[in-house]
Amino acid sequence: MSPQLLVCRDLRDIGLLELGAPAPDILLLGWSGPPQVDAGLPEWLLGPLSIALAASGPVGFFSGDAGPDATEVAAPWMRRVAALLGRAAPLYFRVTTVPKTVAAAFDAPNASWDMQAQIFLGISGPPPALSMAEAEALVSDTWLAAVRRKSGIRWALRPAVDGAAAGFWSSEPDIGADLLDRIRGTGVSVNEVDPDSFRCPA
Amino acid sequence: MPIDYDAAASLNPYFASVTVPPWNASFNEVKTVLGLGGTQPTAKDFADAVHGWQIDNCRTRDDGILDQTTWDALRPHTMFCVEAEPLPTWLADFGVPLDEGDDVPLSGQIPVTGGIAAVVRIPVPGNGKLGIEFFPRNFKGDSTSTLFIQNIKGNKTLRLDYGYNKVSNTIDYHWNQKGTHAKFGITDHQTVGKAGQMLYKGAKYYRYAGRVLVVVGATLDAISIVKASKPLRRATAVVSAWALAWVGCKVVGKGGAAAGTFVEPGLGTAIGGVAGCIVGGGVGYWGGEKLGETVYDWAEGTFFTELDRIKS
Repeated sequence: MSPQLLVCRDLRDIGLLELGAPAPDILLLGWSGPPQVDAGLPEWLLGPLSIALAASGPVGFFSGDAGPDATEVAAPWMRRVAALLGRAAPLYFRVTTVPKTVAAAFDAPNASWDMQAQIFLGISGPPPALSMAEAEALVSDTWLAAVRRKSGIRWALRPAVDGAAAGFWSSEPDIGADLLDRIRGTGVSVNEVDPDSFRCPA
Repeated sequence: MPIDYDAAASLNPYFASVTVPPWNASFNEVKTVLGLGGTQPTAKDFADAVHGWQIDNCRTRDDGILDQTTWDALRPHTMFCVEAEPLPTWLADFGVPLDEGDDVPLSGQIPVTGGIAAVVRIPVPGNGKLGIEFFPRNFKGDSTSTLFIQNIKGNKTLRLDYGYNKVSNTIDYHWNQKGTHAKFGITDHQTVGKAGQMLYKGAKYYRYAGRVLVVVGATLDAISIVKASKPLRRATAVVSAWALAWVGCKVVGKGGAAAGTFVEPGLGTAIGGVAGCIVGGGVGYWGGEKLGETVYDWAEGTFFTELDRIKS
């Protein structure tokens, strides 16, 4: 089976994929190819997708590791106490334009992509200040409403169930089309499919 | 004050076994200090002797009853050994303390042992620093999975999940894994059998029930400290018990995980680790409790004598 990125605009399976309520401006992204040993994005897609995301401008994501580009997510006092006791890790919102950093974020500590504790956001303007409640909303089933509540977010890429697919939302349709063009530009085959082919690629 | 001999006759045998440490174990030394050495005193003789000692030593109580307060004052004088003699019948025949049935010592041992695996990260031998846990290591704090073998950062994980399976294209019980294939040989979305389903369901309830049990155990232990005749002694025992329960859970749990991995990587690892943790936690709690009491008694019975100054 040759590797390919699958795009589906029919959202009838969005509940099964644990991507919340359907919205007309969401694209479902999936992939087919050789059987995967590890959860998450396959290696052949990780690099091209990271390059395409970073090319669109600053990319925000969550991580348990601080960096020069990190802002700590404001945590309530109970969580701070738990962190002091080693029962919880601090959480940072990081912004980068470096494809390698974007690729590493799919494996970020304390913000697992395959457990749907991660989201990638296209940022315009200064990085948004986030509270823990807002961070939790961004990775919940109501992620799209949380994204829309925040200003300065152009697009969002959120993992579906077990990180085995993703939902992509953009504030303008051109952003999604540009992303797919950039991925094609890296040599990855991109195909629009119906829901049956999306779930059971040939 | 005059001695109530009836009260003394019933209370002295009672306090003989319930004081800490029980003074009937040092009865021959007690007799010697009271001037009754080499005799078999009656209950009345004994009460008189205690009464006399209480007056001679300016005790606030002089009722002839060797209770905990009097015993605390008398005990330092009994730190020697005399030849053992049989206990007098009025003391030896005294059976169960009068209210033992109403004063069963409280201990959190059973609930703590039962719930410890839900709160302790059970190490799995080998590279990768993996541990068995019942909650995910991500900031969201929840997951459809109920059992996790994961590293501290949560980005190397083998977890037992129920939900949509991309590979089988149906909703089923399956493993999800990232970065642990070399150790367990399990691939992502690998479906599990009946044993895996039962483990998933068991873990689903145990992760909450276990935490409740630990809270119940902590509460019982706190009450036991407040109610104890020697709160500091009980507190020492409780702290020691919890510390060794934690160590026991980790050490025996790690051994159980290794044995379980040998039988069946993944399922066996989890079952062996949790079972080992519970056994190790229980033994550790019991041993820690005894150790704490022993150390406290040893420290309490130790007296330091000032040495003569040596002229330089």
